[in-house]
Amino acid sequence: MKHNSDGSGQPGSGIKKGLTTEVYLFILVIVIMLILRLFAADFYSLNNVMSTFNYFSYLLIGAVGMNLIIITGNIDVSAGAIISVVGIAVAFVGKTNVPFEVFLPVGMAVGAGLSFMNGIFITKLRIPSIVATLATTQLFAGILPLVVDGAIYDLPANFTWLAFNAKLFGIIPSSVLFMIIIAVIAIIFMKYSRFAKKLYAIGNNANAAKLAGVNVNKTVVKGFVIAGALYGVAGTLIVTAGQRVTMTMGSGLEMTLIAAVVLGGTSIAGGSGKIIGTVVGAFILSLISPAMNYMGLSSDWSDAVMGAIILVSVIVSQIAVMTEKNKLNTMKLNCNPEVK
Amino acid sequence: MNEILRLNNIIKTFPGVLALSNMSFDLKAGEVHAICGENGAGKSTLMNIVTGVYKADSGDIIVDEKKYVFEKPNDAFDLGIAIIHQETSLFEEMTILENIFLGHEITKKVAGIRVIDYEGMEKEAENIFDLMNLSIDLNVKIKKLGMAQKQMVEIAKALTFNSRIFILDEPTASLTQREVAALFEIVRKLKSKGVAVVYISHRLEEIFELCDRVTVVRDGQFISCKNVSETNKHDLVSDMVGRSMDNYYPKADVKIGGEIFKVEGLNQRGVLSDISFSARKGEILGFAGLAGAGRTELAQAICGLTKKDRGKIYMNGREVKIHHYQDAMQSEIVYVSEDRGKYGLIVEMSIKHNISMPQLEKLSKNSFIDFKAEQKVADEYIKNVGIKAPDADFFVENLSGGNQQKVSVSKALALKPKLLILDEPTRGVDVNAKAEIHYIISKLVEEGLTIILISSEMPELLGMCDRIIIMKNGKIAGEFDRKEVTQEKILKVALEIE
Amino acid sequence: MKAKELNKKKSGLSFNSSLLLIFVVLFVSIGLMNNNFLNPNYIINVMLKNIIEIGLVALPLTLIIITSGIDLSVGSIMILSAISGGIAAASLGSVPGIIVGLAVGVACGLMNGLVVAKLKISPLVTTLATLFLFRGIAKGITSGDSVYSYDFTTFMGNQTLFGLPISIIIYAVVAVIFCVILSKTTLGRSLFAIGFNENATRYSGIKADKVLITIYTLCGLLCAIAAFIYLGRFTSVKFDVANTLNLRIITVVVLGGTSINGGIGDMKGTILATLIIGVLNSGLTVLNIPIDVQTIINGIVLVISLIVYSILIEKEKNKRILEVAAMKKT
Repeated sequence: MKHNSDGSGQPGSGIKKGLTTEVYLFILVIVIMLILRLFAADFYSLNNVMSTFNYFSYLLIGAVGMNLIIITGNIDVSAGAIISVVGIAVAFVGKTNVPFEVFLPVGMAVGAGLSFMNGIFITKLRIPSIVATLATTQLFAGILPLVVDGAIYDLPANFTWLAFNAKLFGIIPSSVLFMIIIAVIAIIFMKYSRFAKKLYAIGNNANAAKLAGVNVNKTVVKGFVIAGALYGVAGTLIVTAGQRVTMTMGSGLEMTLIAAVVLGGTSIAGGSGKIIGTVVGAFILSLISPAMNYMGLSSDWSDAVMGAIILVSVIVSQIAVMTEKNKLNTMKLNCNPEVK
Repeated sequence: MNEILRLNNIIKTFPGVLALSNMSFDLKAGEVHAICGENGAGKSTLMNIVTGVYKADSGDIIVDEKKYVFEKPNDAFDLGIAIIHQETSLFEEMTILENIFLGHEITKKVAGIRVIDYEGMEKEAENIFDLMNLSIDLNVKIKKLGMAQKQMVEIAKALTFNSRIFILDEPTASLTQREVAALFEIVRKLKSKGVAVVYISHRLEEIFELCDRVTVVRDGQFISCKNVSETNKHDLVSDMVGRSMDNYYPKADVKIGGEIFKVEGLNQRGVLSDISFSARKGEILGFAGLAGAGRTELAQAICGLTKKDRGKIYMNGREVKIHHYQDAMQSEIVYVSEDRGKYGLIVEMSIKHNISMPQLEKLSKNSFIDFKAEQKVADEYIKNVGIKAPDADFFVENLSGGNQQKVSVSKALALKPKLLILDEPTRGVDVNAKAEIHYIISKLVEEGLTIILISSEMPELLGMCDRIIIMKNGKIAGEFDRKEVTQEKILKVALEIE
Repeated sequence: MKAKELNKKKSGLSFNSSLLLIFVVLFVSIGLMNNNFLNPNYIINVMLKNIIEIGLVALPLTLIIITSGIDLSVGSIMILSAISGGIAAASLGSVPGIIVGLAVGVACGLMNGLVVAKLKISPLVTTLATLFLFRGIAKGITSGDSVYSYDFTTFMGNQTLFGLPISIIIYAVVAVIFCVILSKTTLGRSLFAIGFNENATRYSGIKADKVLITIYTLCGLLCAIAAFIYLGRFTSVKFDVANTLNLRIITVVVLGGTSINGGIGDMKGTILATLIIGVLNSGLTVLNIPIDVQTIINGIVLVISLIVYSILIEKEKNKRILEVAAMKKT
């Protein structure tokens, strides 16, 4: 006496599983790359490819952090400001001529610390994340001009070691290495750790998660801290790419991070979303600016394009959700499970 | 059977309210014990105490003959007490497997690191579902499941904790007859394994079919505990209200007039198929059917809340075009939704604001609200419908369920409709208020209103309606007149049994 | 205690009095620290004038937040409107500038409204995306260059009438209109309903879509008007000046007692909060506190108002539970 309670076993259900968001995204990536091949063949020069991958790395590392936050049903518009602060902090440290091994931990610590503040505002003070991070954006960005006069110059030579000298096989930038390691760890972590399940649960139904024994506040704060550390890595990589550091390095970056996450199929409402989607999303975004350049479009429009992408991908996924809901309702109406 | 749980003289107060006093209850392993009582009688509070959500002010909780104090839900959980609510607390975007094990996933060590052991979890889940005689794809997301399936997942979840006491809180509210049968099977299976089941329900028929004993609570106190075999419905109702209640469906004899409303060929792809019927003035036309038969969908399609593909609607012989709910209201058709908290009422607002909302335009001049007129309308309805509240500015959320429903109905009546469609008007309403609402319905048809009554409670349909139309799978399956109808006849048609 | 009195407390009659008190205290204390502050000329031409754009946009934003929505793109709409108007005026003249400025504001607001109402995407996500989109368009059409003011904007930003800047008169009129809309019209009532329970509101026959589209478009319109004033006052704008506006406008609305969760709000509160922020900003400037610190202080004010407000709501709720229970016993 058994019955299939999910409607599976019917013809066509296997094929349905294959047409997920990720597949659509992969197709999109291939299309974009083909277009580039056709219209801007010199896009594929080694230098350009490496520089695109560089940008892709910063993006993805930061976007993984943002992904964690969005899965819990929160949002973080202060990521860009945090990265700016990380940049200045690392630059400060760099001026004191410490060995470069110090940079990364410092960056991660600063990022984690600032993000921790966000987490506390949101959990302990119960401020909605959009408002909290709006406020902290101003807070973080606002502190910088008080501490630094203009930009930071004349950083020692070893400052840029990470970016320019630490290349695998002489070509692959260290940023790419970091990105690959982080992405792989993230994918495994999200599938096999209990912590990840808690994040998803909170994003789905924080109350139910609490009843299931999850310490919601602690988990959310931990999520923010991890994200902050990742912002720190991204920030460190970005800032060590040059010998002059400005205060607005990360300004606006949160937009791109959010775009990458949303484009990758993670719902802004929380509770779902895979890292692999964010990988593809970040990749597509990293292609846009250089692609626009190579095709002759001014880079001044890349912000608008980014904004349009976020809007369009949100609209598309909403339409997909609405059609799925309609289908589900009809399905439920027509199939009553049989108990034999 | 051993006693597995006992509550002695539990007292629980909230600021200014004595919720439970002299509450006692005992539960034996392997029994199915019903708890019965009106809304507000204290059933939920009692269950919250048993599951550790609230802490009792005084009294004993004894599990397996040892006293315990529950400071938090986990304390009760750890002892094997699990509750399955009506609103499932599942995670929609996560899979069945993930939901069942959330918070206590099975792990294994790989290269020194603790990771989730999917195979281990799958194995245990399969064992549990085998026990329940269900074959289920563990990787389906919860959002794709129906209500009944979600409840099964909840039960499975509780079983992964080796729960020995299952509390089912109104589990059959949204289940089809077949799903109810499946649920009962599972309960019996659990029973045979020595699990104790507490069954909270308004549905007396189910209690008599499934349960061994029944405890009645009233006003936060223990009233009686009887063996099901030694009592009957009237007895229970007496205990619940404190007086005997005969004839709680006071249907007066009303002169039924000519046809006032007609639906022709209504179609909604995938949902409703070729619906045609008519209603007469002064008639109470009931719509019966199992959950999912399409009754609510039909009502919403008629009223323009959802789009229909085909179909004509006639009011007083003239065709009316209904594309939005406003059109329905213009044609004097009003719909009162079944989920009043979600759709019907804005509980954070006052009675007055709620009642005036559907006719705000009528009560205003050039978009400026006429506050005096609004007050007048509200006072009128509070009086006529008998809403128990100090004044019209009282917030609806502070009213009892029955009174909230009355506000819902007032809201509809304030529009002076000719046809009123009531969708499960007494769901979740206590016996007293239920009778009052039925009385109101009777009076309305006496005054010439026509009512379509969608209900899942057979006694309500049989007692109140002049005719009953039965729906199944989006189609009309049968129709009976008051004089010839019986519960069996309805069920047979609803289930399409020859 | 009668239900009417319970309700009054909820609507915040006493809350507004506290706001007024805060305003007076701030005003007096800063005035004591720096006499120039009390100069009526200063009050009108600096303190009040500086807060007009924020005050203007805070009015429709109050309506939006009451429906438990939000509009994060207001700063971007303002800038895009100012920039497009300026560009049009530069090549075609003042009148086309006005038309384009208004049209852009309305179009942006309409877009927000349509996406929120018809596509049912959360206002947060929608306006976050349009914040980026509108700002990006502003960047694209100017390539980062500045856009300059023209006759009409100069008029709006600087002209005085009977000694009062036109912008203040405009604000006064618009503020009164919005007060009336919120407390006396059907539109206003439906906002609270939508904020509490959008579904039930639809089931009550209120055309929620129409209401939402209206208020978002209205917001866009007011952003355009504020944009004229802003461009006039600052004589030139670049696409990236809008960054702090969002935060300050939301601060005003929240400080004014409008709940970020919807259903609760009062236009008078918003007006009082506008005055308070006006005093705060100009006061800090007068006391020579740097702009960046001011921004931080703004952020802190927002955070504090949110905390205080949620505590007040909790207390109010608990009090009501007690009183209702007491009433039930009698």
